[in-house]
Amino acid sequence: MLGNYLLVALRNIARHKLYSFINIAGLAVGLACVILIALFIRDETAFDKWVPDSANLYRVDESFFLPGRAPIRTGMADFPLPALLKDNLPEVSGMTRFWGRSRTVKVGDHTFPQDVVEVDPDFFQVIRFPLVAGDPGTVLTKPDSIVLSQTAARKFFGDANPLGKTLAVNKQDCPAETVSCANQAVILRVTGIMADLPHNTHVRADALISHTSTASVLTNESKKSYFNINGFGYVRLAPGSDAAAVAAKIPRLLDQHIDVLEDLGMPLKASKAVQVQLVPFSTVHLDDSGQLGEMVPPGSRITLYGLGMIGFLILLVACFNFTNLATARAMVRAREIALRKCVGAHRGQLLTQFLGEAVLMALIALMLALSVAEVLLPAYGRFLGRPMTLSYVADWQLMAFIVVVTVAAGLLSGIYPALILSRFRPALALRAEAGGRAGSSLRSILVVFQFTVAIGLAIVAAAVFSQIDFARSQSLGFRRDNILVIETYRLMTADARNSFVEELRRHPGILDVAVSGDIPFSGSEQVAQMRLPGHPEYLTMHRQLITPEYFRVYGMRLVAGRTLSDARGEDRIKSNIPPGNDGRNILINQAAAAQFGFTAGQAVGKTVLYGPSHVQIVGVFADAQIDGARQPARPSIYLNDRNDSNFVSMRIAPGQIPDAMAFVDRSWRRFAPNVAIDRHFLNESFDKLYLADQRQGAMFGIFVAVAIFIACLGLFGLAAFTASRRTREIGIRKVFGARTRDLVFLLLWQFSIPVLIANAIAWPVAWLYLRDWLRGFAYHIALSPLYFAAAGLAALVIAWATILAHAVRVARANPIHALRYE
Amino acid sequence: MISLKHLAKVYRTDEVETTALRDMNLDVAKGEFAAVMGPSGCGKSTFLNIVGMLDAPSGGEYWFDGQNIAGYSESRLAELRKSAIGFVFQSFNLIDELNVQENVELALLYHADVSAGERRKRAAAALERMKIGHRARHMPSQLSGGQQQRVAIARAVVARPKLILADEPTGNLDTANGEEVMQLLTQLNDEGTTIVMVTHSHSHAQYAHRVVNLLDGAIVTESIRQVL
Repeated sequence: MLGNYLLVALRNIARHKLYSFINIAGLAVGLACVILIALFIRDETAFDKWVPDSANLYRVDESFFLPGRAPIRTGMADFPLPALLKDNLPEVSGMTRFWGRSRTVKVGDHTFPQDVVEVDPDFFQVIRFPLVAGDPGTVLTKPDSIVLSQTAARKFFGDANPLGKTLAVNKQDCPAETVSCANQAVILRVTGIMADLPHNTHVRADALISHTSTASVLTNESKKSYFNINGFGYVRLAPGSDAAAVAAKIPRLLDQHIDVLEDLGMPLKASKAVQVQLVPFSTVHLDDSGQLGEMVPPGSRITLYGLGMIGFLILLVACFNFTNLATARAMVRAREIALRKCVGAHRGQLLTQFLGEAVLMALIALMLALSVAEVLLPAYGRFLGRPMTLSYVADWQLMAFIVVVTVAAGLLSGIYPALILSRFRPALALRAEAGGRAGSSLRSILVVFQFTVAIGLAIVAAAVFSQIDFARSQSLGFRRDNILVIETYRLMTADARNSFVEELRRHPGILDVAVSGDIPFSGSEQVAQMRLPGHPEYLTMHRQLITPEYFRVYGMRLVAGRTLSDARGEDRIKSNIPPGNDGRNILINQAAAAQFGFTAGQAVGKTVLYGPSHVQIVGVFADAQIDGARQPARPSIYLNDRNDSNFVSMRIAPGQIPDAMAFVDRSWRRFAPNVAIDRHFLNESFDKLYLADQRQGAMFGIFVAVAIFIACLGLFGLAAFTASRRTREIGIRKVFGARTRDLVFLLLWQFSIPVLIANAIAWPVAWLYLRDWLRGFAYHIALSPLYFAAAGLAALVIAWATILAHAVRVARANPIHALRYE
Repeated sequence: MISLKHLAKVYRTDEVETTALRDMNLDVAKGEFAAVMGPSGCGKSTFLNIVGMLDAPSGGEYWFDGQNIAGYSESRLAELRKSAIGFVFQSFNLIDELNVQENVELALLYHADVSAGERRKRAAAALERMKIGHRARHMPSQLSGGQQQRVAIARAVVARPKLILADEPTGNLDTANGEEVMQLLTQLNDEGTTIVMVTHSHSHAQYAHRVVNLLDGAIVTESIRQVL
């Protein structure tokens, strides 16, 4: 019996080539999408799950609620907090800090720029990253210990055994909290080798030392400060403890130990200003609450749900092709069914047979889909920027899932046709005719659904692309082209930096040079507490240290008043000693003026309080969106403080970039011989901001194309079938005078109806989705009706192109063939 | 009305050549009612297709209403066909998806000079004439065979053709309905419409003025019935 079923099924596939091709190709492409999406989702959800014994591990995330400022959610924690938790909460059994700093490593004559992470000595017992060599308990306890990843060890020492080898790390000699110092070298000994961290962890580390090491660059100041957020903190809870209960105890602890008035100059309760979350280690990656400071761009559950949904929809579109074509072609099988029934087949047996055929078709499609996925995998990995692999044995759970999905798809596509086919009564079936009418309204509904999916996705893709393009090309209020930035934080003395800047100015290709406390797109923030005299409430603003050239380098526009000048003593400020700045001048931006309650013109000449000092606003600059188009401009104050600024920004003449850069590097070596240069073009960090959006846009684009392709495959098959079924009608119309043109139009119009209905459904759905998506951008495109009309028209034209050949062929056929022997 | 001179039709495929009609000469006068008879495969259908301008002859001349239409273009033939010829088929050939009224209107649908209003009126009138007006809103599948054929005849006459070609119009009907259809055709003929009918039924052939017998693609006998 099974043999007979299989034989019939395979012969059917072989005999009706177009039909089989459409079904199998559609399902294969759909399944390939599902496989690729499933691989991505699995990769995202597997982040950090591989870290041994991480169930009780949490990251300490701090959020800040400052007056007059939107909450600042970070993924980081100040240095003392994790220790505070461990010392006061019995459930906390371990903790470590994790503060990365860019350093310069010297091995022999070679220098390497290298991020070195400062952690607690028992780091490898808290976060149990596997060590290839060394004892996790003691590997970081000596003051000259350093642990390297395998990759870093190979980079520094080649193939030699790195254990016990020494290297030198630069260390600042400045005692206080200053941004500028000279550098000396500290010798460290390699005491452990860590297995390379794979891509699927939110942690990035290649070289680790203890913060008690002789090479530590964290100042005692920053180790004590509660509002200095420049690194991460992790805690390990004792087995069986309840993280929520532990977190609930934290606010009281904060109130007992943190004095906000002393730290920030504001009379606030600590638990009101700071909120601490314990985020399970393995869910950090998919926590997309907009936190600042992630080492790896976080994933997003919403994106995963969205992708899963798209995969499901694409598969559904492919399944519906099968359902449609199978019901449409029901009569082709009628004779076989009638005969089987005549010789005694039960309905259940026929049901099994037809469902089996659908599943067989789906399994053949799966074979193809797997080959397609394998071929695409390397490109997919490059696109996602991570290695993507599919191993049939090791990934057996995923494979089982995919097989289950395939069988389900087969059953779903086959169930309706199987019900219809098995219901045929032999007498009727043997008398022919009547064919293809079964389920014709269902077919229309399914075609409508398919095109709804395709059109909806197309609209969304068009809008996403436009928004990304808009955001990229939108004026951010400053120029970002041809700007090279160099970080000098504690790598040079202030004098050396000033001389370095003067040296840079001498190159003809370097048009202007400025020094500032921060640069655009860095994501970091320095807060300043501002007040209007006589008003008790504080306004939290972004404090940007600059030199007067800053506005020229970045091409920013003065809206009112004047800019600052080094020539006037009162235009300079000591930013790190907030008292004693009375009578100094500052600049603000328009957003800050608005927050003070002024227009730009009104703000000029006003006296405001910067901490305890009365300072005067002398000029207002146009807003600069230093976080990109997604975020509104921060209300900012600009202070002229050359000595505490540490980023050098320069505008380079477009034609002289290589020459100017070589000059920059040479000059750097003269002024900071012990330290590797850390420089990049501003446009590179801008591009990173939109990388996720661009990927999302590209993915949407590809999936839209796939969905439309599959829907059109189905339409093509349906058109072929319908055209043949309607030859008689077409013949009659022809006999009564219809021209070929009339008939082609008639057929096109009838196939247009489902597409038009699909538009009516897809438009509002896409509109609702996009409205919400665009709200995530401070500045976004208007939802023009053009996107909707264009997507709808494109679907219509593609549908026409798909069926045109059939329509023309049928319309041109000689009617006598259709009418002769009925 | 119709004049066929040495008309021939040969079907060619790669391997076989089939002669469907050979050297056929036939004249059908205006207002005449001619019946064509013959066994299966004798060329009746080919004859009707050529007369109906659905197929082109391979040789000879076909004069229709004074013009030799051999060599007319496809679109010119379509024009001539829709204005001058009405078709009635054995299997009715109503469109299942259209209701009775719409099926009849179909014959006027491709006449650019007939407005939608007039089309409705004329279709309704034709249905009344065929005594099937009360079924105008029904679908063909809801009608009996005889009723369907009356709809088909209404459709054939609604464009006021000079010629009606009927291909075994009673072949799918029982005796009573067959008789009724023959009455209708006779009535149309009495009003001046030329009718050429292919039939297997000797009794129905008796309604015609003239019976043409075909065998192997040629006319073997012609008998003219005395008009009483």
